[in-house]
Amino acid sequence: MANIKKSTSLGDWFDQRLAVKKFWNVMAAEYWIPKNISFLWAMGVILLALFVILFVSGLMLVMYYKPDAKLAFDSVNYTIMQEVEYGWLWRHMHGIAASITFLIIYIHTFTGIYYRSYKNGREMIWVSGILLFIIFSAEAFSGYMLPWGQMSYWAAQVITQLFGGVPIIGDALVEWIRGDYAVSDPTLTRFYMLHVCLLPIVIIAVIAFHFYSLRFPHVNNLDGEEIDFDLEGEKYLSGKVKESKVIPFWPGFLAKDFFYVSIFMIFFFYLVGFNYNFAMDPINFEPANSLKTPTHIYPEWYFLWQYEILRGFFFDIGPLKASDIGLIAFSFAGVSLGLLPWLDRSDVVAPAHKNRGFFIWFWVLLVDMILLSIFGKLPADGSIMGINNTYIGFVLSILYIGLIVVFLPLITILERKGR
Amino acid sequence: MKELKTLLVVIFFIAILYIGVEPFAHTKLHPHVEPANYDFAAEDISLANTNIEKSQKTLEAAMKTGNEDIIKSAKIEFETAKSSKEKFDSFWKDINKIDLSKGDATAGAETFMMAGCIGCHAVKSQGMDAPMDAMASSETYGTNPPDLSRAGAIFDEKFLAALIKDPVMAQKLGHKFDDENPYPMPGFFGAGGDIDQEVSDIVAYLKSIAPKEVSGKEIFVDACQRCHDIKYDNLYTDGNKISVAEFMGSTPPDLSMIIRSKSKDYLHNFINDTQKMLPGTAMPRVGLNKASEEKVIAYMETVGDSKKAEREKTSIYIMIYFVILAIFAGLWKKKIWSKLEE
Repeated sequence: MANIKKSTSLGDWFDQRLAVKKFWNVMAAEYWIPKNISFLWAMGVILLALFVILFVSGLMLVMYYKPDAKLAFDSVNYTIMQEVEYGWLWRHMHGIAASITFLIIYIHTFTGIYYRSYKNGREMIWVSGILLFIIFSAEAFSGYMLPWGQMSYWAAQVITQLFGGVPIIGDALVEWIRGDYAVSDPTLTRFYMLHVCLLPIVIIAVIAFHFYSLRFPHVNNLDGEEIDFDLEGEKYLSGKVKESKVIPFWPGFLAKDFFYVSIFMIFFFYLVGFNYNFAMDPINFEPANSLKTPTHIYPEWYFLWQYEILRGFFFDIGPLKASDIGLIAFSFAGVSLGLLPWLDRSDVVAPAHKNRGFFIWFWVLLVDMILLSIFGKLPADGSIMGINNTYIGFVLSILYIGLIVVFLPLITILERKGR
Repeated sequence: MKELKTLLVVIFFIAILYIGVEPFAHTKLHPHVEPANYDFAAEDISLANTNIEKSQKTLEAAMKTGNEDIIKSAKIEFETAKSSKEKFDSFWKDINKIDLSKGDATAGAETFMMAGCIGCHAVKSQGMDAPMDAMASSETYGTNPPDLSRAGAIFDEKFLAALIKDPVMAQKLGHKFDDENPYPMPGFFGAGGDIDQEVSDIVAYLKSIAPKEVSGKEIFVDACQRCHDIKYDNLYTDGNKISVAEFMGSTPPDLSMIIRSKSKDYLHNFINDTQKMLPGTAMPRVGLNKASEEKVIAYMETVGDSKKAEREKTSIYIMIYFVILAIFAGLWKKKIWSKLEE
């Protein structure tokens, strides 16, 4: 039993029981962040802000939403969008935040790749981050089903059908996931459960883990410099604030982040009020109709690059059907970025522009993923400059896989040998 | 400033991605069409020409494949497009001969009675009720024939003349109705005099009894509600829905949210010429004039996007709030960092 004394203040009362000061020092006041960073280091806090928006707006929506195939569409588009005071605001915020979360996740991830922050002790940060990306994908997909519009229904049809590609148990698996032979009311209800209960719990747990895993290896900096955080921290505490290479999480780091978050929110609410179709596809404002296939079925923009890899393979190889090869490539693409710490064969942590090979690799990867996204939305039967979209998609898909499994190891082995 | 350069690079790639998956992809998903034209004669002939060009290209492509079945079906398509153009040419030539400025409303009232229009249609504003109620008449004809009290105000006059002479051609339903499967409304064969003059008189009569001001909702009732629901405004198909679905081939969709699922441009092009946007659709071209079409789309917006004004105003206020917050946050950041940096 701790030695509890008569408290001198309310703060002291809590401090004696919860070690508030010590906790605050560990979490904020003496949690050291490098000074040498740019606005790209604010993406984590922006993502946290977006997650809070998603959580709060989600709670608001759950109060009126009806997870029933007969009621869902009207509960969203009539009750929430038109009857409830500012219901439209919560829905638009929820939809835009979901979409923009992925934009920021991609910026966050590519920052990590550019500064090669995924290795030398930071592997767990990286892997938990990629895990968050994957769970967020499931969360986004399950949430997209809930308004029960045409895109909700047909995307669910297409994506759940993918599990049919699993050997032997495929068909049974699809039925198990859907809870019915076709996508229908039980499918909606179980995805509702996933979206508002199971997945958010998992996400919160993994976010906590993501932060925790960051606490010891610390954040990377603009030059990839290895900083002795204890030493620099002491320097800071001893008053040599300007000399020290670190700043505390509070107020130094967060002062910057509040500023970036505020600016980001201006852009966010511009999208909420004036440019939302990219996040809330117009086709989904048509009620789900199992008898009427939409002319074009495509996923939300943030899944397009993976979707293009899925449909990039159009020929059978021996016993493997085109759809199976696509499925394997698609599954690989989903987890591929999580393997970077091990596919990068060098221990150099430095921004990409310090190594010409890696620099080129980085921009080719980025451009390839953007092109995959664009072609993922175009009709597969079209052509650009006389070349069939299917062939372009195939080349881009092969390029992606090559960049990850062949070129990255090659470039980094050369880097290691060159030193 | 280094950060600014980084920011510009980030914005550049986001812009490329955005343009690629939004405007650029949409031009491929929804190919460009000529804008809505309310001179229906010109509209129909222009579409017929476009269809000939398209089917000619298909035929050329088919020739290259060398596959006989594909060539055969492409040839049929090409011939159909050509004959359709001839049909529309001669039809609109006939209609254009009618001098609508010489219509006599008084004579038109008489012709209207003699021609048997009120055998099916109501003209409630003139005290003429329909012989059957909406249920019975939709069960008989497929859809309930509209009340004509406001027809002269909401439909284009040349379209009305065309419709009276040949409803199938005017509504572009030739692919659905022919001599064996006739359209419920017969064309007007004349009341004994000069048929063009008589048509012109009837149109003049309909225009003379029409109110000056018609609301978007009234237009919806006259032009859309005989097939469509708009349940968020408590309007439901006027008649037996099952008969309508059988007559149309499928249940016409509820239009409550159509303003969010289709762009205004699409709605204008579609209502103006249904076959242009959805070839083969059972929906007739209803012949709304430009003003009425704008009103009915505005009405659908008030139903499906009722919070638009509030959304735009509120979003601006919130943005202003964050501009102010950003200024204060920036000042605070400056204060904190002045101690941290040399």
